[in-house]
Amino acid sequence: MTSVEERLQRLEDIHEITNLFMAYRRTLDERDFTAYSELFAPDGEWAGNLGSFKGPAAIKQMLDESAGTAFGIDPGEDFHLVANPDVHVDGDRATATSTWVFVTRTAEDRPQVSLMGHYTDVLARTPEGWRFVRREAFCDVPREHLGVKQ
Amino acid sequence: MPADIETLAARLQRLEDIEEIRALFLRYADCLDANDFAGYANLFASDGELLAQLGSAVGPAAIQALLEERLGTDIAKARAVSFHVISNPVIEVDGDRGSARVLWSYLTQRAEDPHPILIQAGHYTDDLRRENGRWKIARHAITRDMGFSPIEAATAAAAS
Repeated sequence: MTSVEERLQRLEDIHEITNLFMAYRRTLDERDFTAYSELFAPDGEWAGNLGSFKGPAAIKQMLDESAGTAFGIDPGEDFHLVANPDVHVDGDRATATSTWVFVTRTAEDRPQVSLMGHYTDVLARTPEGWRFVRREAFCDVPREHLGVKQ
Repeated sequence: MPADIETLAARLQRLEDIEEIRALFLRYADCLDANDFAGYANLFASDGELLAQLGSAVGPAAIQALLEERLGTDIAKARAVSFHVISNPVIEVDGDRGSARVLWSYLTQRAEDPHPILIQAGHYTDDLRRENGRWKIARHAITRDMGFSPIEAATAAAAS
C-alpha cells in the first residue's frame, strides 16, 4: 500500500523533472553552457548526433566547441519547444521521454521548424535535486542530421 | 516519521495550484482560437492588466472591449485559422500569488498552401492571483520574439 506522502512525492518529483527539462531548454537557448552542464549528474552522459560525452566538464566542452559550428546561430535567433513529457518515477530514479522542436528565425523574420527529435532520459535524485544520468537527444527529422542517421 | 497532515495538505495545494494555472493557459489559447473574447477577458482578475502589442487595458470589461475593437469580425475572418500552441511552462506559486512564463507559438494556414505554418512565436510573462478561490491573471505581458501577426498582414494587405 502506497502512503499518501509517497503518492504526493511522486507528483512533486514529476513536476521537478519537467522543470529540469525547462532549465535544459532555457540554458541551451541562452547559451549558458555552464548551467546546462550542471543539470547532469557528476557521471551523467549526453548522447546525440554530436557524439557521446560524460560528465559536466566534457558536456560543456562539447557545447563550447560545437556551438559555433553545429549551431552557428546567434542567441535569440532560435529556440527549443519541449512537449509531450512522459515521466516515470521509481524511488530515487526516473525515466522519461519528450519531444523537442528546434525553431529558427527565417530571413523574413518568421519562425520556422528546422529540426525535430526526441529525448530519452534516465534521471536520478541527487542532493542538488533531480539530474540527468543519461540524456539521448537524437534528431528524427530530417532523417540525417550532422551526418548521423536516426 | 510520517509528515503531518497540514504539511501534506500544503504540498498538495501547491501542485493543485500549479495544475490550475497550467490549465488556465490552455483555456486562454482556446478562447483566442475561438474568438471568444468574453471567455478570454474572464481569465483576468477584476483589476487584471493586459499589456499587448494591440493595446493595453485593465479589468475584464475593458479587455473584452479592446479585443472586440482590435480583433473584430473582419479581422476574425483574416485569422480564421488560428492555432495557439502553449509550451515550456515555468510556473511558481507562493500562497495566493503566482508567476508564470510560457512560450506561445502561433500556427495558421495560407490560402496557397494546405500545410500549417508557424508565423509568430513569443512569451507570456504573468503575475497571477487567487481571486474568490480561482486563479486569475493579475498582469499579462505578451512579447513576440519572432514573426508577424495576421492582423499586421491584413492591415498591410488593406493598405496596398
